[in-house]
Amino acid sequence: MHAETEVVGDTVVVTLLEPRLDGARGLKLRQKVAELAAGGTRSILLDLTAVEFVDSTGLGAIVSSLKLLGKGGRFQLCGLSQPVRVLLRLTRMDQVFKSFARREDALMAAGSPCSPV
Amino acid sequence: MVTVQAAMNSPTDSPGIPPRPTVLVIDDAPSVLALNAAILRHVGYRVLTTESAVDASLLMARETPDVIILDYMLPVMDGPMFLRQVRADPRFANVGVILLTASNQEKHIEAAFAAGGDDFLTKPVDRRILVARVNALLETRRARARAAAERDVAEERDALLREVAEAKQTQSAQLPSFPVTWNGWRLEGMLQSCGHVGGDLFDVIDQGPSTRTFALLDVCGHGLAAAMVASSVRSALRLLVRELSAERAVAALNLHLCQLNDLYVCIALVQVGEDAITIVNAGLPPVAVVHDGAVTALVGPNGAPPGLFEESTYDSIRVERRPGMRLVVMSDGLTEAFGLSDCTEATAQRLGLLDGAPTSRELEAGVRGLLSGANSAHADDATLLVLSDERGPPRSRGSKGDKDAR
Repeated sequence: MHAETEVVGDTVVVTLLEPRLDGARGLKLRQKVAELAAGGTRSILLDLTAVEFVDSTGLGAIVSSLKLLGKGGRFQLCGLSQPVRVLLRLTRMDQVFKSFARREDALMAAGSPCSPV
Repeated sequence: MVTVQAAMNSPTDSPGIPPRPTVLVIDDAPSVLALNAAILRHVGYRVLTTESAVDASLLMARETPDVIILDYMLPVMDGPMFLRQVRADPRFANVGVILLTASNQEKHIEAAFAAGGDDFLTKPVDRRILVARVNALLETRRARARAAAERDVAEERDALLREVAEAKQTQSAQLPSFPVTWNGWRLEGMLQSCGHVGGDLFDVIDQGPSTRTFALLDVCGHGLAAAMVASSVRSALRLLVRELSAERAVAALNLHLCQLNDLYVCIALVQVGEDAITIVNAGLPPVAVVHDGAVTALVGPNGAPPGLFEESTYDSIRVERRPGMRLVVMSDGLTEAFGLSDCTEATAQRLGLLDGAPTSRELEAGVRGLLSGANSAHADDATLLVLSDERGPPRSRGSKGDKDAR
């Protein structure tokens, strides 16, 4: 999985650089989020601008990432392509994940601190 | 006096560098022993030497040489006798042995091979020939070892393929035979796995003369692991739908799957009663209700795929039965291939499901044709179920053979 991470305030932005989030890439995303969570990160923004396709394993990895941060954490999405938006709608994950069209909007919204653990 | 002389360097002295092959030279003539050992050391071999077969036996209790240069005529235990002892020990099955004979006598050569020798040389031994024979013997041993390893891998692969084929057979045997007919309803369907076995599965549960519940399951992931989960979900579902309403059955399945790590399933559960159909669609492409050649309703989502969140809730949609109506349920393997997971209507149209009620065989052929032109990067298990009310206008397509097979 090719990805870049950048720290903006208290949020770590994980930007996926490949067009697919599936199989092994999904597992690597989960690993990455687990490492960040273990290191104390409480707010993650997953930038999916480059991602055109998410399969069931990829969706599982996104959900696992949310769970890894726990109730006190914040896991948000931005840059959803139409197929990814449709997948989230079909699985009702659009009601679970807060998503933003642009990364800047998400970071502005993330300005408020995470709720206490 | 008998001496045992080991080489100075251990074969594992240099980490990362493959150990040098070890040659054990056994000869009771000290000058021959020293000369042959020097020749072999000079070209890079690790060399062990002994002047008798008895000492060689003791040495081989702790060392396994790659090649033995064995003098034919030795005191106490001669070369062939020692060689038979070596060959009887499975630890030394791959040790190459070259016998040195003082003459070119046929009976010595025959005895050397009969005892298990790989090659022989006559004394005095030419330096270049000795090195060439040892090199050749080692290369033959390496090639045999490689072939044996490849054979092991091939056997393991064949065993695995046999297991997968059996799993595929078992999975296919669990699927209901189409068409399933009852009370004026007719259910046709097909399943095409993108691998040997798949995470898609469907089931039809008989709940009396007028009621059936059918389900299409799509477990996250592919292959054997997904197939195992699908099978377990099917068993759980069979119990749940007999006790609970459709939405409660899916809710109970959700709680069950949430106990297992990272497993979830997209499911459409359709309960077909006397006068109405109840649908719960949790994660699959919208279920299409078709009437008079058009999609009149798209159903879903009614909840998150079971297994993701314990707190998920489910609702259901009730559709009144109408003569000639059809219900089209498909997994995303059919829709994703064309870009979007929710394009049920377009896919149904491509498959001719708006205008007619194809048989399972026709569905299979249609799906195969459809997917052959699809984006293979998105290959997934593809499943399609079509429920038709047969009390309406006559079926525009269908084969007599299938009806007779009921």
